[in-house]
Order: sequence, then C-alpha cells, then structure tokens
Amino acid sequence: MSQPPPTADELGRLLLPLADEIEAARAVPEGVLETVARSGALAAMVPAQYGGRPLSYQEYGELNRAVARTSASLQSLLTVHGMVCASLSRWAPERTRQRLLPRLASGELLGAFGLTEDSAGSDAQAIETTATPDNPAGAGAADAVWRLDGVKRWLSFGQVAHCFLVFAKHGDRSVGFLVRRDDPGVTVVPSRRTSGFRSAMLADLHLDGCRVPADRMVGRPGFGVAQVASGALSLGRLCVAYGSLGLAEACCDAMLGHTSSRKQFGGRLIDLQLVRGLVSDAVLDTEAARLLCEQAARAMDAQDDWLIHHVLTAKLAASRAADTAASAAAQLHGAAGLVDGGPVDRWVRDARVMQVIEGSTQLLQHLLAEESLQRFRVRRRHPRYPFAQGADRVE
Amino acid sequence: MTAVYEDEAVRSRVLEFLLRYVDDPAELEGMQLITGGVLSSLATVALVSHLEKEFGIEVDDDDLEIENFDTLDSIVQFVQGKQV
Ligand SMILES: Cc1cc2nc3c(=O)[nH]c(=O)nc-3n(C[C@H](O)[C@H](O)[C@H](O)COP(=O)(O)OP(=O)(O)OC[C@H]3O[C@@H](n4cnc5c(N)ncnc54)[C@H](O)[C@@H]3O)c2cc1C
Repeated sequence: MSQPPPTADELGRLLLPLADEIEAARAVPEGVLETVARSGALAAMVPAQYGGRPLSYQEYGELNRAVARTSASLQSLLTVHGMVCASLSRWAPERTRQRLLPRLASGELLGAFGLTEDSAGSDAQAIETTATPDNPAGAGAADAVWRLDGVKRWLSFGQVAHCFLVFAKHGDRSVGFLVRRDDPGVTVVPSRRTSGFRSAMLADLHLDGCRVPADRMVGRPGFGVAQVASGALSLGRLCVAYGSLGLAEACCDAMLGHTSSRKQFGGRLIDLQLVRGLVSDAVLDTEAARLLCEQAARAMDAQDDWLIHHVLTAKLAASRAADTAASAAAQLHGAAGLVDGGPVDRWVRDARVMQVIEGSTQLLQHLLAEESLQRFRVRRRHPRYPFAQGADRVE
Repeated sequence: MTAVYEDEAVRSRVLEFLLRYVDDPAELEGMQLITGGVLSSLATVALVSHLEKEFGIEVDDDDLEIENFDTLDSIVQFVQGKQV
C-alpha cells in the first residue's frame, strides 16, 4: 500500500455522501468496499511485517466512530475484519500469517468472524460445531487435516467474506480455525434479514465435512473460545463502543439541527424546556461514552491489567448512549423521524443492534460486575489501590 | 531488559494476580484453574496478557496448552521456562 490510512475525519468525509446508497442497497456496494480497502482501514490491525499499516487502538476506534456516522453496517466490517486480522496476527501459525495477512491488509481478502450458533449466542462455550482430526492412514504431520461440521449464524459480511475465523469443539475443548470460502464442504447462505444493520450482508456458514489443513488452526484446543475468541471480543467490543459513539454523535447533531430550525408555538423547538431535557440527556450520555471509549482504547494500547474492565464499561455506556440519542432524535423529529429508510429511522434500528452484538447489555452487566468484584478484592488487600483509573498491580 | 525472577518471586507475583479471582487464597493452591472453572474465558485472556507484561515474555500460539496454565505451579514453571 502506497499511502498511510486516512485520518478518521478524511474517511468520514469520503463516505458520508454514500449513506443513503448503502442503506437502500441493503448491501455495501462493491465500490464502497473498494474505497474502504484503498483507504488502508483494513490494514490497521495487521503488523507491518505482514504488510499492515498498524494503527493504535485509539486511532482505530476513531476510524470506527467516523465510519459509523455514515453507516453502522459498514462500520461492522471494521469490527469483524479487524478481529480476524488481530486473531491471526496473534495466534495463527507463521505460514498462515505470511500467506493470508498481506492479502487481508490490502482488502483483497475480507475476513468474517464465526462464533454464534443456534445453541450458542451469549453462551459462547455452548458451541456444537465439531473439529475432528481426519488423517488418512500413513499421512505425515505436514499433511495433517481437520474436519469441521456445524452451522455458524449471523456472520457480519459473511456474504462477501473470503475467509472465516470459526470456533469448534474438539472433545470438550474449543479451538479456532481459519476456513476459506473455497474449502470443500463450505456453503454460505444469506441470513434472515435484520431490521438494524441491514447492509451488513449477514450470512450463515454451513460446514459439512469441511476439511482444513492443520496449519490453519488458530490457537490450540482448549483456547479457542477462552483465548482467541475472547481476546478478539475485546477488540470487537471496543469497535462497537466507538461505532455506537459515532451513531450517538450523528443523532445529537441531527436533533440539534432539527430542533433549532423547526418552529412550533411561535418559536424554535430547542427553546422548549422539555425538548432541552431530551437533547441534554443525549449529549451528556454521548460525551460520557466518549471518555469511556478513550479510556478503554488507552488501556488496550498500554495493555493495561484492567483493559477488559474498561472495554466493558465503554461498550455498555456507548451502546446505551446510542439508544438514548437515537430515541431522542426520533422523538424530536416527529413524523419526519418515522420515514421508512430515513436516517433517523436507521439510527433507531441500528442502535438496537449495538445493545445485542459483541455481548448483550445484560451479559456485559454480568461480566462488569464480575470484573468489579475482582478489583474490589485487590482494593480490600491494598486499601490505597484506586477505585477506577487503570493502574498496574500494587507493589 | 526485563528482570529474571527467582521461582519464589515468580510465584508470589502470579499469586498476587490470581488472588483477584478468589476470596480465599486456599482456592488457588493445587486447584485446576482453567479446567476446574476458577478462571473464566476473560480471566484466561487477562492472565496471559498479564504474564507477558509482568515478566516480559511472549506467549506464542504453541504455548497455548492447557497444561501450561491450569495450576499455579504450572504457570510458575511456564514463566520460568520462558525466561531462560
Ligand atoms: C446484526 C448482527 C450481526 C452479528 N454479527 C455476528 C458475527 O459477525 N459473528 C458472530 O459470531 N455473531 C454475530 N451476531 C450474533 C450475535 O453475536 C448474537 O446475536 C449475540 O451474541 C446474542 O446472542 P443471541 O442472539 O443468541 O441472544 P441470547 O444469547 O439468546 O440472549 C438473548 C437475551 O437474553 C439476555 N441474556 C443473555 N445472556 C444473559 C446473561 N448472562 N445475563 C442476563 N441476561 C442475559 C439478554 O437480554 C440477551 O439480549 C450478529 C448479530 C446481529 C444481530
């Protein structure tokens, strides 16, 4: 790639005029995918030695925010492609990294993330897809092959992805594999249509005796969900947090624009106190979400001991801010906010999704309480340990 | 340069970290941390990342064997092995 990735604002400006086209197409048009690939955004989670243009988590977060202002569907490509790139960079065998990462970085290949199954939504450990060694008698280690059987649901950008990071069970141990679209036994079927993220090109992935070489194992049995997927989910949650922030910002701007120009009862809507209540609550939640997003990204950049805690708070707060801001924008636009396919209607539908993907609000509350308890245990033994701010272990 | 710690120092540092997951330290001694359910998925991620930062080691894909992380003793041994 000849040029560095664009700044978040540059990419945002480039994409903004395309928002309606993306939504109306119920797909991200090829040309838009090319624009994103050319921008270098798809190379951001790939180390330079494999052809990447690595960005800090703060910078990548800002890209996600900027893209989500145009299209939350498109932003989810940065989420899942980034998760696949980061997981391969970290846990795939060297040969697989060398072969695939440069092509993922350039956008020649798109990656999708396959964890969810009918049996396993919030409870990721409940996956039932199986991974079985499948080696003909006499085959050497170099020819080792695994056989995958199962169905993965709701893969964002699965309809167009070239490769899929999937998780399966070998006995009672989970393990990750990189599956290619052209592997034997792979069938990609568009998922049922969703109301939000309607352009995210969701697909179900059927693995029916799918045979993949052992060097496409990502991590080791026992660590598929516990390390590879769970590690990727921190990045995914950070992306969703920043995406929610972008959506919330767009809603705040739209409601400020609308209420300051629309006149009723002889004055502007924004001059009505109850309207100001809705606006200020949305702005407050959005600004608070920004601070938590930045704190989480900084924690990830520093590999802070409490980064998971910070990512959980950011995702929870930002997805709720998106919901609050989208509801307020819809309310304050009146009938105009209900126009089918209009931006306000889209934000309401997309904001709903933010509280479901990468861990629902209730699952995240559960996990945050657990993390808070851990921090409390440290504080109980070290009374001067700070309540919040990311800090390293107390000496 | 990252300091190389003696066995006991490694042990007490790992223990210090793991104590955030239990109310009673006795729950850690001899316990199977991953297969016994003491550490959740997120806790396992946090543990690996903590070991890397705390001891300046790199955990590779072929280090991801349950046996390396399932007990306090095995973690200490793993860190020691990585530091050599
Ligand atoms: C637009 C979209 C894109 C997606 N993209 C992907 C993708 O790329 N890859 C992928 O693998 N999956 C993807 N998914 C699936 C998504 O990850 C799951 O929908 C999500 O994990 C929730 O699982 P579920 O829908 O089965 O809900 P369930 O797990 O059945 O949960 C339903 C509800 O129950 C409650 N609940 C669940 N657990 C708890 C708990 N522990 N405590 C309290 N309440 C709880 C929550 O309110 C939750 O919303 C996508 C989904 C959507 C809608």
